[in-house]
Amino acid sequence: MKARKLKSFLMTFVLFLCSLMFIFPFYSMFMMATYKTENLYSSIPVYPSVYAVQNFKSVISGGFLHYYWNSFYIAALVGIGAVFLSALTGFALTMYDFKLKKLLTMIVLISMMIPMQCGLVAFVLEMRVLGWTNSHWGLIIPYMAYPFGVYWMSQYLKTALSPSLVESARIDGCRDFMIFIRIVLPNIKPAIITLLMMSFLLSWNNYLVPLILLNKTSVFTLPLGIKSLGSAFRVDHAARIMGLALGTIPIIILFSIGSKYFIRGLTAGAVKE
Amino acid sequence: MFSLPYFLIYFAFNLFPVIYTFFISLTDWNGINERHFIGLSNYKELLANDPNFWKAIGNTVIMYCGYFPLNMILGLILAVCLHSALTKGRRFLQVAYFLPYITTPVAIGLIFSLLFDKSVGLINRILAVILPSFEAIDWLGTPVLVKLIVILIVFWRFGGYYTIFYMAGLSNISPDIYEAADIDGANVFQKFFKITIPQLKQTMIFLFITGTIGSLQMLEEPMLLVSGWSSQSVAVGGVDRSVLTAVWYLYDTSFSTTNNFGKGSAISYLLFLIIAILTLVFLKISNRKEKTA
Repeated sequence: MKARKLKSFLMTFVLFLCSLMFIFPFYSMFMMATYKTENLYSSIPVYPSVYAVQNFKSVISGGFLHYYWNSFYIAALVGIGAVFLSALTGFALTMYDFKLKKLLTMIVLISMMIPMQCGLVAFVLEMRVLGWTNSHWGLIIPYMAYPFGVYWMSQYLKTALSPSLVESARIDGCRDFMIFIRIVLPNIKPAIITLLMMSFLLSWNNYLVPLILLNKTSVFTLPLGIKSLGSAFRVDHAARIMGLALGTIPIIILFSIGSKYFIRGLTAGAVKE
Repeated sequence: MFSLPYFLIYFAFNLFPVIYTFFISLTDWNGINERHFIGLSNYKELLANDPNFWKAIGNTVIMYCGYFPLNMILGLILAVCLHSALTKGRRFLQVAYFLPYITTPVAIGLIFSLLFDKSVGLINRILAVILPSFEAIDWLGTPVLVKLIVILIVFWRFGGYYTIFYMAGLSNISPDIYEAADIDGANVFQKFFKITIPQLKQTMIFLFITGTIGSLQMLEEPMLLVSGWSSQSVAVGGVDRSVLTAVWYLYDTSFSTTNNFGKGSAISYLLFLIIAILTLVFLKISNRKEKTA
């Protein structure tokens, strides 16, 4: 029994050391964010300094909150839209029989394989024609169609929802759309949370498309804001690091809370029983 | 029909651009001049006369060979350890390993440029403390080193991703198999190589495909890494274009240095072609193995 305890301790210890490797860059960033620029490079930042609040203030006064808000509402709308459309489409593809069903299911599967960069040039030109450059529409509407979401919802609905339930609701005179709202959606809450997190994250971290579409700072999303820190705080390096740190915090918190759901969704495609 | 809104948006903003990009790739369009149909010239040009395109693909392949085996092997080891009943605090460790994956890639590029900057980078300063006669290393200004750092970043960023997928695979293996092996007197290594690895085949195929596709789409990490902490001058692709990636080249050709939409579209289609071929080949190989096994 003693040997087992020792083994257990050693194993946990080694794994903990490994986790330090993953955390170290974050740690040093957060520490440096609390220093004053003049002192930033004079010593190695092992423990926090006292300048965090001042750095925080300089970053906020640089308009950083605005980037947060932009990223947040875009990602939230994308998340909600993607979840709703995915569930609706998944519902249609699993519960109904119609002519094009096979073809549409095929399209969803194939579209998961096509990288977004493939249509990038024409996508940007399309946005220009629509006048959606320097606007957030181009980052919201197109991302509501999330092929993986549809695939995932279809898989989930196949097991979570019995056709007889839908059938009996229909006999009770419930209209199909109301069946979806009242019966389907409440039954797939875990799937909704997972998908919401995944599509939110995808939109939040999106860089290439905003980089091309947006060139006014007032419409910047957070990744662009982080990138522009260099020119906003040319001298004040500590504030720049604070901005970087602030840019990573919300996702860390969100993920720490919902990691279970997120991991389940992410790995769902890989492990087929 | 309920699926209509999804497919409308999908066709309008996803499928249509993909198809239209192909047509653009057959022209010499730059957004201003009149379009001319030039057939496959863009492709010929890229494949035969464009050192940058080959450089971008070559860089990707070199870096991929650096981090992918590392991720596959260390990810598996970490997952097996994490999965073991001996480990305490599994949830904390899992989240810790996974943090880099969910962090905005832009921030990751910048964090690492902060660590490896020549004059103010943390790594050089720590080395200077340890080694008295240390001369600052120009990590990001040396082609070989900057590639190594990108390898390190990608390895670091996806370590948790691989671990999590392996863990999902591991939890799907029935404990009965291990019990049977125990009765037959199999040791730890036999169990690992004869049971664990074959049972994880599905997971490995998935990781191989997503890992390979992901590598070919790499952009933010090298781009933000070499955009530098102390300087803001961005040389496309870093010093000597040593970390230029295909998507970076696509971006630069179509929207940054030049507005050559035709050529940019051709790059994206070549990229897509490579991804499609790799995926098909690998699926074929893994299927054939299954039949002979």
